[in-house]
Amino acid sequence: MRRKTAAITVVVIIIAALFAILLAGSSVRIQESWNPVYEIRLESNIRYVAISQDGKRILAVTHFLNTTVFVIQPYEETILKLKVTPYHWHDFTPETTSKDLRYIIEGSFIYEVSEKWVARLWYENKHVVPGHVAKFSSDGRFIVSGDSSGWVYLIGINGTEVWRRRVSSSSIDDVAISDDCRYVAATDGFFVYLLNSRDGNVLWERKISGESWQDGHLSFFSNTHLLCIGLSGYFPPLIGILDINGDWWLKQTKLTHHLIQIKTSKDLIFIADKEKVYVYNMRMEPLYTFEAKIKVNSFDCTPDGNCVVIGSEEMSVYLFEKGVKRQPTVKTLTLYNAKIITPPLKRVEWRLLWEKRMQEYVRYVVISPNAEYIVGSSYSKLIVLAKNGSKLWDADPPQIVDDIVPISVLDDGTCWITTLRGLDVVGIKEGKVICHVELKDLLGYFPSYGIEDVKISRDGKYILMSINGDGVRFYSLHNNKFYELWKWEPVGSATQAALSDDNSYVLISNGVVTLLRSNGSLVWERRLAGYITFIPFYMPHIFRKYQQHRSGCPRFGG
Amino acid sequence: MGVLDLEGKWVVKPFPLDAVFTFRRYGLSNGLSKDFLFIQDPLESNSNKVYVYDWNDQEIISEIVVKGKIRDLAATPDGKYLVVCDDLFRVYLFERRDACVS
Repeated sequence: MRRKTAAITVVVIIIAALFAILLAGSSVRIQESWNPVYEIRLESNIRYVAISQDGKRILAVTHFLNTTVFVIQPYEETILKLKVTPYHWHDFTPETTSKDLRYIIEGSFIYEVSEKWVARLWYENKHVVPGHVAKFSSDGRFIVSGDSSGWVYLIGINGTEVWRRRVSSSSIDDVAISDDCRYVAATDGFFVYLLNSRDGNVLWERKISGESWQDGHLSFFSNTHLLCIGLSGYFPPLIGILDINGDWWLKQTKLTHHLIQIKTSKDLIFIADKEKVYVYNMRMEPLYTFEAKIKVNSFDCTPDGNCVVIGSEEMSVYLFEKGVKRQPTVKTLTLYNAKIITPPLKRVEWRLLWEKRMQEYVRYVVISPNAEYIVGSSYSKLIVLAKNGSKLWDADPPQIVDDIVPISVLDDGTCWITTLRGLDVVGIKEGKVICHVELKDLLGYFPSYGIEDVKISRDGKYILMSINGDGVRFYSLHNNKFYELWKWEPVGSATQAALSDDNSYVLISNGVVTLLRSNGSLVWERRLAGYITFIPFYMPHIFRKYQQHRSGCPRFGG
Repeated sequence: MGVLDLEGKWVVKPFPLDAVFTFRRYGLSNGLSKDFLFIQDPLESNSNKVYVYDWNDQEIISEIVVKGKIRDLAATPDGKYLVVCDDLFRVYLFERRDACVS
């Protein structure tokens, strides 16, 4: 009997010990916590947040009147305030960010975050991100993207396409790329596809749903080839983990809350619904819940899962750190107590030499390259001032019946003008007309309009015209006696034109920018829309190239 | 604004300006000088401010304010002088003065 009692006692002790171990285990799990260390209050609601790999920098996007991107270094208590210019006066909500926070994908474009602004990278006007979902590779050099027609793309950060592969006839819901860049994953909500990132070949596909309304979410665990798959749309959402062979490492498990966004660290799964961010281990056991004061708009975590940042509907960004034993005092960083860096710095000033109230309303002004002459025009009157502001002369040439638009004033004080309707080009010196060309003489008939642009060379020897009217369109170069040296007829309309400082080159723009030599021969043309001009006194390193070009280039009349 | 060399390659890749602008038709000098780009913001119809961009460093380095609404401006090719006219019948001449880098 005693022996039996002892045996029962031993069994009870063992069971108690097992319970104790289990409880201890669960208490360790419960102790898993992320504590708030910073609350960063910005000026409007937080649309998007991302955190750098080292957890030391946070990128936050707000939108009120203009979109502003903040790069926050909470531990240094600095906030860099950047404008997104100039393409987004409207909503700007990033899709994803590279891990170093250098690049943002928004819409079809990649934006670069510099110390001055957030600017769209420009690759000959091309939309560089082909699909509507995208992720950066861990090194930021590649982007994987999926489009609504089932195509998956791998592109370089410079916009070049590495490969494209159609994996489905349905829209791609999400994509992912492993940290070592060996594998790309995509899902259309029905299947998960694993592709070789080298060539885009599909390695396998795994059915994940039979429902048509489920949205797929994908995320590789950091430094692993395990892929976390989320399915939302129906309640309850499902979470599962696939290994590299396409086998379930963790079978799809039901959640007890909604699923908006998934992120994974090396061994944790972070899932956001509209109000909270939940942390699970890889067995889908709940570890912790983050609660923002109002709505969770966006969140991100570091690859080790130690730092989590949440952007809320109200104006705060919350930074949490894992493993802080004692609840620290939450520091509040605001635009008032942080060091705000708002580029740029003012370095150069322009001092007012004089201001002069004119008797006439001056609509246009030009200045000679040597600054000795300043010319203003008021309707049909031309007013010429000296550098000290004194009036030298004015003219109201009777030959001109239209409003005057000054073209330029040369270093010798010769003024060249055209008219608002673009029918005349006139040279005036010291109040006297020295040259008057009417467009009707060039065309042989009376046009109603015509001179689209006109440039006079700096030495006054050449006149470049852009004529666009009444069925004629051409660029022509003339000497100062108005003898035509050559004529260039563009495919489209003739619009802007420019002459280089030394009369060696002509630049024209009409949807295609074309560089011509001064004899009218083509150097190159590029499909670029925009306004063009030559930069005065080229930069030295360009000037060297410029000189080399000049040596082999005929001059006007040559 | 971007800068191409004579081979058609980007020397300065297009960078954003805070204002929409055009290089004016006609004329030798417009808002572009050797180192600076002077522009008025046409998005602000009542603008009395000229923004000065250093297009090498791709940043605004100065702002010049006049009394009325700007109607036109022109700069010398070296960027030393800037002439502006406004709707108050005034013409202004500004001269560059290099300040210490802050």
